[in-house]
Amino acid sequence: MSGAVVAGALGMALRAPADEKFLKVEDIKPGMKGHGLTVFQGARPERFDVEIVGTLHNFRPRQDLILIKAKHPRIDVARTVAGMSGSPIYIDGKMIGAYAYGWMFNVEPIAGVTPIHDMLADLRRPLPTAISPGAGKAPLPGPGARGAATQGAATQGAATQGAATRDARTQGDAGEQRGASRSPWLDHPSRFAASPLDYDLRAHADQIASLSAGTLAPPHGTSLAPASTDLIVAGLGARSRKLAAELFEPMGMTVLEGGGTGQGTVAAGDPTRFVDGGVITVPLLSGDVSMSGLGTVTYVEGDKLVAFGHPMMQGGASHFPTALGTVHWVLATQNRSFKIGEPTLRLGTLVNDRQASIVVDMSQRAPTFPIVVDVTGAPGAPHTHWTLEASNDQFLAPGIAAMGIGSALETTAGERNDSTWRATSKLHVKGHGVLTVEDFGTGAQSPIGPADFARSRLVRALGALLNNPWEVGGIERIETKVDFVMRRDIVTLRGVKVLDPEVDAGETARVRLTLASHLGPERTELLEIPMAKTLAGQTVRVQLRPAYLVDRTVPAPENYNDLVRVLARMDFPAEAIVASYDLPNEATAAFRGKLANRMPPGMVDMLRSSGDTIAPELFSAQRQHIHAIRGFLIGDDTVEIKVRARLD
Amino acid sequence: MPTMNSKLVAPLLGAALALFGAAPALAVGTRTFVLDTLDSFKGGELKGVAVGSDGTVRAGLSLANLPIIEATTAWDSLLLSDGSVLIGTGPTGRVHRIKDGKATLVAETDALGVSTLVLGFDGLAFAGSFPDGKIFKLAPDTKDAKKLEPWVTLPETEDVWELAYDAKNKALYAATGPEGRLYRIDAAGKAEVYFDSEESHLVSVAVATDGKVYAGSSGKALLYEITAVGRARVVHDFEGDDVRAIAIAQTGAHAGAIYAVANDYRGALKQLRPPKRARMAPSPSDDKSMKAGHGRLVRFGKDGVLERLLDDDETHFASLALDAAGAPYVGTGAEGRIYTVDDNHVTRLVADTEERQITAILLGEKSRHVIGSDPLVYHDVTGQGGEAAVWTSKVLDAGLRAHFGLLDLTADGQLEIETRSGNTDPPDATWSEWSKPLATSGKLESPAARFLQLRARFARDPSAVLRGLRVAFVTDNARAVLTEVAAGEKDTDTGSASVPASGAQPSEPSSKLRLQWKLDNPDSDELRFRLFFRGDKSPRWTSLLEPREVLTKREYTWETAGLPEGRYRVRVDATDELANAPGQATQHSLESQVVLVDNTPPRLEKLSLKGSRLAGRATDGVGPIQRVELALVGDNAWYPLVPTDGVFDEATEDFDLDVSQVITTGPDVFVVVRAYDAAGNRINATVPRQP
Repeated sequence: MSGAVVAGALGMALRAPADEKFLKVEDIKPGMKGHGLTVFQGARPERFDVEIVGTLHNFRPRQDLILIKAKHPRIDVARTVAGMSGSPIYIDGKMIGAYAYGWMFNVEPIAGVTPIHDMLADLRRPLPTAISPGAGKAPLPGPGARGAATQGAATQGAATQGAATRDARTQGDAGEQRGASRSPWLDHPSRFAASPLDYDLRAHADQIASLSAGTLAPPHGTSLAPASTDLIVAGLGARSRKLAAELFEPMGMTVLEGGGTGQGTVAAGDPTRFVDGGVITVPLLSGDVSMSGLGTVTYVEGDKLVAFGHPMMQGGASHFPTALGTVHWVLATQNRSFKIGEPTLRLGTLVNDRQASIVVDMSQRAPTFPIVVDVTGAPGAPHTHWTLEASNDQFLAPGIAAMGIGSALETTAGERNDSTWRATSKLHVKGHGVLTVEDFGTGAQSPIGPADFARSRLVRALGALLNNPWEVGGIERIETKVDFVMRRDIVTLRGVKVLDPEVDAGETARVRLTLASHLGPERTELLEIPMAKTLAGQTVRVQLRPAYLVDRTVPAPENYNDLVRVLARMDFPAEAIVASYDLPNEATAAFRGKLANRMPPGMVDMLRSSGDTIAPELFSAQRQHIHAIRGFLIGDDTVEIKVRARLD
Repeated sequence: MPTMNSKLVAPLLGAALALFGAAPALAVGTRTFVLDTLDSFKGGELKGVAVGSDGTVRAGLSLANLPIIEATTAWDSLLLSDGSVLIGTGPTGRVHRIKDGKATLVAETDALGVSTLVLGFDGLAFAGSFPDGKIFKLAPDTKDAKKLEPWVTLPETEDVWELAYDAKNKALYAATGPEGRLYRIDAAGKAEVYFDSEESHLVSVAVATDGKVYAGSSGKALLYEITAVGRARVVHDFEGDDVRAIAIAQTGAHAGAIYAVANDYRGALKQLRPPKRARMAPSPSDDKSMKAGHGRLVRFGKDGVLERLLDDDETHFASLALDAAGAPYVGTGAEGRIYTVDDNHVTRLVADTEERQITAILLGEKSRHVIGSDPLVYHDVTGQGGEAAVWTSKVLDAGLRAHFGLLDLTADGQLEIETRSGNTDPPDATWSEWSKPLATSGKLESPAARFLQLRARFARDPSAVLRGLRVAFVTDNARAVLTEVAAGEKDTDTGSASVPASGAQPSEPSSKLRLQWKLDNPDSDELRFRLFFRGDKSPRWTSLLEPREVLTKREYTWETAGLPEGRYRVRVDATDELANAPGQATQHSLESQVVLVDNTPPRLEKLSLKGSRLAGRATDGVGPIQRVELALVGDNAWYPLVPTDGVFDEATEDFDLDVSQVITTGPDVFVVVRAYDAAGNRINATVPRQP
């Protein structure tokens, strides 16, 4: 944006007194000298000197970049400092913008400044009402809420599976559909762009990264570092840190160890509200493990402020928590220096994440939810109880849950030995009861960690709930209990013997399974399969497959309440085998969250509709019989059973 | 039931001539639309009329329409003491009430369908549902929609398909699935398995006055009689899939008789796909292609003897009811029709609705209604006949523009017959207005047009009976045009452009040539054909037929044995003089391609077999030579020979080639050479081997 355009565009918006505090881009000339404000240590801003080098016009779409040379004893050493993003720069006492960009491997303290008028435009940009509650100052609505659970996949000897159940506390469909005005949040760009029932954390991260990459990357040929926000992590295990880097760095956040979890208090004499040049943190995860974005406040106006001088994820309307922070040291590196710091006092909400700045509203409190992790079965482990606070965001919440819980397990029970874990997670879904999700994993000398949870049913359920297309719900709490044992609970199906090759219709056919345990003896289990009465006179092919490979027939959800119901039912327990066979001349009908498993043809004909395409879905009917088997089952088989007509 | 078609009667020639004087110019012979059967009468629109299998149309049920758009299917209906009607609906398991001509939602459930309604203990209404096996008790004064709590949830049961109440013994019976059980439930809601069948579903149940319970199954289509707990016998094993409905006559000549509807769905579920992994909100349903099945209505007399009353090959039956006089009515699963049948097995189509199915019928003394499903429309039966009782024929097609003559009406009582005509099917705004009504046979006044429609009103005389309609018409005389004349053996595919297979065996020779011709005859009038032939180079045509021979078939077998060999052409003249007056007949002629007449075999000359070298010449009088082949004497294997110039295309073909790969060594070798001409005539010659 050229200076003339900036002046024209903002002339109507800015009040006269405010205009006197800012300097337009076209009035800035090379050689002009001034100062900046940032925190080098502690929480109080300090001055550093600057000199105008020049202006890059249209650096971003309709946004210029002012080049400055900074001077301060620490800057002389550190040159370009990531955490200084947002530091206000003044010429002749008037603010010109925010320190925002630097060069990689810079040997001079040259930086780029985002013009203040572009940031003020972000500050005054209206937000959707659902995102900005207004005068009532009510808490922001959290995105989504309801858990889905799908099984993970077994890879290289490691396996993760799960199951989900739901308690009886649900709401009626009608009530749920009535009165629900569609929130803009349901169309937010950070939504998972596929069916929530197919939620995948890494795919979600890829989607967001592809959306933000263009705006975060520097203009071609400038050699500038991409606009990035340091994500200071603390208390995070090594593998969780790796996962964090894989997920967040493609979307413009640099994961750095060097923060703390914060104490929730402000040192005496330090600011208790945000000030120009002060530290601002965005604690995405807090508690026993923390991940926080760290930068500098540019300009405070009433309860609102702008910071960073560049986007965080370019996510537009957002609701991440923000907090005051403290800087322990500016760590100088050859590549790019950064501030080591941590959050202090929770204050405000990041409400808008745009090209020129992030916008924070101090009057609002962002929605978060606690995650409590308890680990059993790891004798002598020093920390078995973990408490986390996660940002209630459509993408961040599932990712943070995976990293947070994974890190707790990695820290508590990480063993390079054979191990098996079983996790039961309770998702407290606002207004819809508790969704219980079970995950299961076993590995060969592969310590448990966040990668297991990234594809867990818990994370998939959380992602499905937060990315549902119907309703802005809320997660109230997640409680995860993990039982950990030092053995590899893998069971291989060695073979099957049909003990009753012919049975009467309506009776059960016995099938003996021979199972081989890892490092253990073979064992047999008796599987009793009820043969439907209608199969009389037929030879039935019965498929025997691990339960985690079998799709349970469930109705397609058509509203949020359906989704919660479906998530509770769509997976079989992980540690089981399923015997299934077709039921000829019967059908399964699914509609509005209900399932009629075995419909006779006459009734199917009455149920269907030729003129209404919103009608029950019809499938051929199958009968599935589940049999629990302890351990992760590998292998499948098919047997034939002849069903006799009863003569009695 | 057979497919309906109006009869288009081709008159005798004499009739055509008799009417000639009154026929307009360019008219062909008079033909007649005749409507006097069930099939011909039921093809149109039936409003408040009944069409019988005896070929009659009478005033039938007059229906009012009350659409209920909140549901698709009416699973059952129930008349309450206050005259209101409850309807159990799907696919969202609701109960609607019809009162004072208005429909209101009175109850909701978590079910997909409220599948059955019955008056039970203390005169209260009970509703069965699926798929959770729940039975609900409905409060008598239900006004506002409310969510019902289950009164009974049957164990190991998903579907409650039908409830029946035994007032005498104070018991409620529930026919259920998918375990095929019949439950007996007492007033306290205690359920016991009364009968556990070998079937997966019991879909119908009724209680006789003697306390016997009858239940119908889905699977093998069995009708059970259950007399006590666990005591049952199969009354009948039907062909098909289910015994969809049972009704027991309480009145009439057949009081105590058991009526049952049995259906065969013809494997309709085989087209369904296996379950898919759960998706988000489903895409529009595409399960619309389920075909109609075959329905049957039977009656078991008091003596237990089965009597087939009605069979329908075009649709299964979705509902069954007996009227106040004990007459049975069935609602179809396709086309939304209602049929009844009397003791003489005369079937009567009494109502034809716009819905796909008729799923509930009540024709009692106090209240009469039928309910169509897909879409759901409640029809109050407002009476018999009346202003609204109108039978409208299907669109009758004369094929060309037609001039209509006499409308011959056969009826009892006073009917009003109206007609209209036009040139589009279906009728549109360009059609003529309906004519003034005719009360008796008379000249039809609708203007000349290709299509005609008739309708009969029963307003003046509700007891009137329409027994037949005949409409005479003549169409414009359009000339028949020959499009192809072909000569060849029988079954010759004259239209094929394919090349015969290389090396194919020649056809058998015959002196009889089959002549065939194709033509386009828009007015379908009867045609006479005359046939002529001439030599290919001759200008003179000679008739193939005797002077008085009348040929109306489109083929002719031509005996060519008496003709000189050579190339000929055949001409066909087609004329409609048989159906049109002199001077108004038209004619069209078409010649064939060259026809080869060749009745003598070719000759083999200069044959020699020296060593392994076979040489010779094949010559035909007309030609060309089509094939030459050889075989060892005594061997049936024939080997084709190649002519010297490589192509069999002339009347004389020489051949000279090495046959060492075919003949054996030794001096006593004889080979047989055989030659064919294009007409299939052949000659054999033996050739000794020369050293």
